[in-house]
Amino acid sequence: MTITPERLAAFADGELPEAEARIVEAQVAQDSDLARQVAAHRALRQRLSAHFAPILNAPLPDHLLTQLAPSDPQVVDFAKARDRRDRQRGMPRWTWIAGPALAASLVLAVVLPGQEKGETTLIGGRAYAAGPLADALDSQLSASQPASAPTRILLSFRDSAGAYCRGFSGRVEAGIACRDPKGWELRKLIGGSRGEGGDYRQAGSQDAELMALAQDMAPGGALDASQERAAKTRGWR
Amino acid sequence: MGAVGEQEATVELGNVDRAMARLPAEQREAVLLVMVEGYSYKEAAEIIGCPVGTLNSRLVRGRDALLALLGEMP
Repeated sequence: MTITPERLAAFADGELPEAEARIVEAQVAQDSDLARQVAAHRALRQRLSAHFAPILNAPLPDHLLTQLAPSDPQVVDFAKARDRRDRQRGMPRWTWIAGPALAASLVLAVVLPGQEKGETTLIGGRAYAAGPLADALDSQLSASQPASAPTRILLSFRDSAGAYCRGFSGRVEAGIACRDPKGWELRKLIGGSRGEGGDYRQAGSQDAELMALAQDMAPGGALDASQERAAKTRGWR
Repeated sequence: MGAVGEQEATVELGNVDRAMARLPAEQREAVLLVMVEGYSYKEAAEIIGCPVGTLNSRLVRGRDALLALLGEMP
């Protein structure tokens, strides 16, 4: 009997009923290729859970903790479990709406700063980040971005409606982009704050201007490094 | 020494994050729920609202894609 990849994965995850698991186990024991696949599956699982453990185990925000009796671990555990469940309900169902072909068909004949470099685009008449700028907004963490990054993320925060926003500063433009289902909408856009001078870097007056704008938009202040990483993992939703 | 370790950890973060980001949403969801959050197939299928068989096949496709992206083909 051949073992489908699905059945083998279920075996590796301990999901098969005992009798069926014993049959698969016997076949795996005689087939080094199957054994390798099971090992790879389990190794990946271990790697992923180690990778995301810091996020899953991140402490609750202080304002939630203070509502609980700190001496009662059961209460805290319950709150943690509920917090986890809530986050799962809100788990992002990523739709990469702004795929290149679609985005191109929606571009209107209006020139945005950065549009000629493929860093901005128009979707439904609104300005969105594209290309490398969108990639930086999606993936760059302000705490761990390389010094040589062409676009620097200054901070991340949630606006009054709860959307994730990020202040950025690049060679072509600087501004504040907020995440919505279509992508990173450019809410504020000011000229680029970087000179052409390679690695010479000085926080320009535009950076200060951006921070001031962000402050007005962020009722809860900036996200810290772990909040930012958790938000990224959840696709900024 | 600590700095070197941190740097390696950062590189590792980047690889896994990048690979995850390239998965189709439904595969990433299945992988996250089962392999990261540790839900059973049945629980994960309930959370997503799909049959267990569908969850199982999304998980396998997501896993295969991740193994390939991370250069760990069995």
